[in-house]
Amino acid sequence: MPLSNVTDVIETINNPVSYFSLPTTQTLPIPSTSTRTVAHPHQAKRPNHVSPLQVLDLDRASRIFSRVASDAAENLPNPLDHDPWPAPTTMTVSGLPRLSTGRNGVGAFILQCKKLDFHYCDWAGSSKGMNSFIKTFLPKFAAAHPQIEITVSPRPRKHPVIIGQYINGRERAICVGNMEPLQVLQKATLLRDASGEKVKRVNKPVQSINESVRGVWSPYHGNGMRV
Amino acid sequence: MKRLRLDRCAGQLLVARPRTCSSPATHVGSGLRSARPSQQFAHSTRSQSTAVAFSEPLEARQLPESHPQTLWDPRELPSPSPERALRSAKLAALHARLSLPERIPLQTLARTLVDASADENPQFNNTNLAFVGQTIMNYHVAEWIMCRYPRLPMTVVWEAMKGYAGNEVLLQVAKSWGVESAAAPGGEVDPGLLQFNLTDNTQGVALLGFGYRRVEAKNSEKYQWRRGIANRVVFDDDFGNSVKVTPGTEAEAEDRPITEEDPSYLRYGNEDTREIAERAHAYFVRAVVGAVYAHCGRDTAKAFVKAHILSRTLDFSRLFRFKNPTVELATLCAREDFEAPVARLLSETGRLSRTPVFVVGIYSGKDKLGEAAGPSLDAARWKAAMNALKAWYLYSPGENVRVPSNVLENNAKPWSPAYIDMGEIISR
Repeated sequence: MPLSNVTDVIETINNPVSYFSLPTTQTLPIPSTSTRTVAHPHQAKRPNHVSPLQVLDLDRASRIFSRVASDAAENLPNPLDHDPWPAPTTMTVSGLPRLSTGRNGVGAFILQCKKLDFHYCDWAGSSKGMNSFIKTFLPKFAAAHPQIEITVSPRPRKHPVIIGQYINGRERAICVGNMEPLQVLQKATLLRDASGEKVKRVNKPVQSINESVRGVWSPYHGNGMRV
Repeated sequence: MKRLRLDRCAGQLLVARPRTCSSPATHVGSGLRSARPSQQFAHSTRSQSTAVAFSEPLEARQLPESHPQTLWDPRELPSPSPERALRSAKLAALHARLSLPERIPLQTLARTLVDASADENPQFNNTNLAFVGQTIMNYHVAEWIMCRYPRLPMTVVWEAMKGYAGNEVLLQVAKSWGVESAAAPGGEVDPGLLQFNLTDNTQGVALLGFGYRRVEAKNSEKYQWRRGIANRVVFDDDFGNSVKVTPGTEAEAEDRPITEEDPSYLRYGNEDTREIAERAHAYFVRAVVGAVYAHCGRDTAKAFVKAHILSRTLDFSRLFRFKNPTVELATLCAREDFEAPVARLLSETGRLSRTPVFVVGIYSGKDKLGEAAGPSLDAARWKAAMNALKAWYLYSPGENVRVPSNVLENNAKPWSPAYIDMGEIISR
């Protein structure tokens, strides 16, 4: 992250040694006074044992530091003056983990149908349309949709069926027995366009994960309503 | 199929190569990456080259021991041989589903699906591509976050990085691409399936993370030593996490049930298997970005990252956790020479009822910095202070802010320095 380090490099220049907690060769005394402007909530409870943070390999730290900011080397503060007990991490703002949400079609679009299985029977009459579809339409259909994995397999003595598999892990099967080739094509297109979700009633015209631009109405703002 | 014109493909990523030849970006230095010590790779200056490194025909090459050249039984190979990639329907469908350019051969895409835990040989797994991809992806995400929200504290930047490019979210990205994983890796598996090893945690995980391995990592993991912000910026990875030395600490290893005695531990999934699966999926996504970069160049890789990663949405205002918002806000006002913040009660209802509501505004002089409603005066004041701080931290110059990599485009205007704030109000 090339740009992100700017402020922290500056901070490193100001406090060169504090940020390198490395294996020990020396032990630093605990300073009696803190120079921090922010009150330390645990100041009174400082333990007597030696913290790993006090234990610094000054040679190594100075070597690393000289690589980071050799220009500022003249105005180095004395590392022994630095407070080895900085504020606890919860004192100020910190981050909460949260994952970003994908929005299919914003940026890239991924077709949700990932596989179509075409099952037919050589013998049964109900597969007549399906067999004709496989011969005439399917090569073109497959070429037009390279993102769908297509398999054709016999299913003897059964109705022909198209099974779609979707990215969300669900399956959807349509029986195409006794259908004309064009009707079969229609069903294949239907499976191609499906999202894989269960079919459910949509009442709201718009569904969005974005926050409302107008906000939620508040009774505590404005002039209020006279009853 | 048209896209399978192998003569136009860059040769280094396609097929087996002798161990003595270049292995891109694997051996960066002993301390720079936590690779398994047993992997000894030859170093080559051609490591970043996309040109074909060989002139002799394929047959003349000496294949490594793990992929013998004789007519092999596919079940003996750790991962499917590259030639089988051309006959995999799943792989071709995945290639088309991601709208990958035709210049990316199916063999490369097949290689991105082989995790290091499935095939240790870096000439056949996706480690090298994942390293390139991670570098590119994290760079674009980081520059976008930094320029879009220049005042974010570093810890929040890291969480945002994780929210866009971390392992967990890349698992979701991989799933949204319709990638399925094989139950177990092997040479006979369909090359279109993601292959990683859940059971063999010790042997297969060649790579625990990219980045500097701390000298004191073992003790730091064991005792949970505190790491400062700047320390983490310098020494840790792009998400502020230190690169792990061992898959688990020694104490954890003792607690971990022995798999032979309790096979259900592995059969039903647990934290370890989830982490391995997450990492495998994430490395696959990164490797795809790396493959796009290797075959199509910088701009295409950036467009790919933008389309698949940066197009996701993340509510930045929910990434903050405040400890002392009022103190922080007072410090901010002092730093910026604003008047000291004052909380004022704007309206209230039901003070003596079971559900009172107080609306409190925080003012600096005549300017209202923030406002919030809460069930008690203090809660409302704190929330108002948090809102004021968020309003400060989430300053943005605009949605389509210019980022440094825009300079690399054709006929780009010269770079004018972006505004980057000093970040945290109270540093630590």
